[in-house]
Amino acid sequence: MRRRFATVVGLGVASALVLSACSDSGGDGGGGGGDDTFRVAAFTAGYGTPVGKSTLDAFVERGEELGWDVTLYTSDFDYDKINTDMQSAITQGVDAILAGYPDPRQIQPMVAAAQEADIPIFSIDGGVEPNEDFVVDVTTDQDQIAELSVGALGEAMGGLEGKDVMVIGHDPHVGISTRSRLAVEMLEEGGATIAGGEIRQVLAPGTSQEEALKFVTDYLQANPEGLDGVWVGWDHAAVGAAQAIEEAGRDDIFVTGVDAVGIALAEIEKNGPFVATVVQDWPAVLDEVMGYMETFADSGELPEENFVETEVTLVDRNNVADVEPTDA
Amino acid sequence: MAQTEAPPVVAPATPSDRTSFTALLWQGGTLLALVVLVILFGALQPDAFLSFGNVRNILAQIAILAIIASAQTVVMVVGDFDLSVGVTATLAGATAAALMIDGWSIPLAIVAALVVGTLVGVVNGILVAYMNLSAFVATLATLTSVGGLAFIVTDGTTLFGMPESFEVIGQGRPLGLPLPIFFAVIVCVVVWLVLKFTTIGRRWYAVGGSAEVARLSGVNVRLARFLAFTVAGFVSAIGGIILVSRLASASATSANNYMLLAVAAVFLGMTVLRSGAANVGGTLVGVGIIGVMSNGLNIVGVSAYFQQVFTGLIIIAAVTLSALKSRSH
Repeated sequence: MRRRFATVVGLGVASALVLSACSDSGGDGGGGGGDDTFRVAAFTAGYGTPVGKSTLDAFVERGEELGWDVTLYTSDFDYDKINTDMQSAITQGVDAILAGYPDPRQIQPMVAAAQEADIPIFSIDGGVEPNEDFVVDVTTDQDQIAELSVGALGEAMGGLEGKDVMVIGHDPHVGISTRSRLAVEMLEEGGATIAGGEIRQVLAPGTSQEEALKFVTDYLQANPEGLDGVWVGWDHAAVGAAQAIEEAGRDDIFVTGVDAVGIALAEIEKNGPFVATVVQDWPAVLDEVMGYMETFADSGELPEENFVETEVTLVDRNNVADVEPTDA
Repeated sequence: MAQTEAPPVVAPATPSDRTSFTALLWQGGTLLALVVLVILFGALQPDAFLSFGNVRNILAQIAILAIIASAQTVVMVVGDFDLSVGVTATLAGATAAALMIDGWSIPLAIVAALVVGTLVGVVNGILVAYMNLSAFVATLATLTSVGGLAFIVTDGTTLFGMPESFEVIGQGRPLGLPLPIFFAVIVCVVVWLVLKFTTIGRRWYAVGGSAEVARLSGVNVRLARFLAFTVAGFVSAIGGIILVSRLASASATSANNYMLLAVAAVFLGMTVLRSGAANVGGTLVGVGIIGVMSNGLNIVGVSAYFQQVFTGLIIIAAVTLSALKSRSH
């Protein structure tokens, strides 16, 4: 009995030591900080995505450099966890909240708690239209993303008229869902037909490369002459689509993606079916949000407009060598 | 004095039981389902579905699932199950990718990845066999921790840029067939041979039938369960490495989905045998059903959302059938 007790205590002490060794203490801001320390609770449910992780990590780093006390809450698209964590953070007292790539439809409990406690929520890519839940939401222009990527696909296919294009999306993601629908509209307006009649939905972004690979492989099996292009709402799935086309030995079907992650840039450089992607300038978006938050931290002043759309850039074979991957 | 339960005595079935149409349907229901799916999709899209190219596609698409499902089969033979086979495959694949990108040679990176997968299996085995945690709790815990380790290894991003020769493992096509099919066949045959013809295989079945009876028969039940989880970790790692090679990339969640599909395949396969025990042949039938359904529904143009619903319904049907069969025994 005594031995077992000692083992349990030992395991407890060891666990505490491991946890303290693994924790990002936040340096100066650790230990709760003084009363003057600007305390921020940041969250993202998309920490498993390269862009989500790199942007939120950069926010924490830069916030701590500014002397803020930043706590980051993450999940793998589990908004129940996010709402619970953030409600606890709000109860413990924070000065501001940073919402990283939130789905505004799924954070209402947290928003209600923040509004009750009068805590402003600054957002990165929190939707495609103005939303009163946020004091500001800085995002990218989905219209422009769809326009540039559809344009690049059309150019590679030699025009849209009469072409069959598969569109691969992921409706749970507001941004991807929006640009996918915009792309469908633009493709159909240009005279293209949507292969399969509707947007093919990937179930999980984490396995999207394999899912898209299967979509395109199976579709080509049934319709070898029924595909001229694949428009994909994000790069990882686009890489899978390109791989399926290469494996089918086809050089007359083209793919575009969105995000400009490293693996997509490498595919574009290969001169294969992957012809273009779109870079959303998340570092610039982060700069803008940091600016608003610094102003608020210094003077309590909130942004004048609550919805800001930033410009995006097309990446193709002409400029791919000059573009930094967004997940580097 | 400890009392032990006698092994259940199964009354010999009468010839009429054995030969009745219902019994045949009962026995061969899962296999029949596979045949029905093939006929159905073959009728809907005869040129596309039944072509050699598509059969090859289906085999390629189910190869990795077959490997991971055979890992799950081993654990389910001993009466447990392993929720961590998917994340173990992910972590092993990510480890191989990270090491190769860091300049390790391909063989060394693969060996390291296999060691990582085996270690996860060892941890599961210790937790379940020696610390008496339920397999559900233990493997749920490792699922969470190993999932976190995969994020750490990949740094949350997608690893790519492995040597091109590594990609042969997942993308090579000897005799016109994707290499993962050959790996799947080898793994499944080896697992089948071990289960069928080796002492440890028979011990696993004995433990799965009744751990207490096995113990009284002189079987080291703890060691048997420990080895089953260890083997599952090793085999899952093989699946993860092949997947990374197939995709030429590794992410933090790339093989996670395989866990549920593997469990479903094994459950489907358990209905094939009269005993209701997990078995490699049955698992392959289950894998076949999942693969044919996914491919067929894609070809017919059914959305992924409905595909998920159908997969769930098939799992429910299989588990219900399995439960009814064991009740009838």
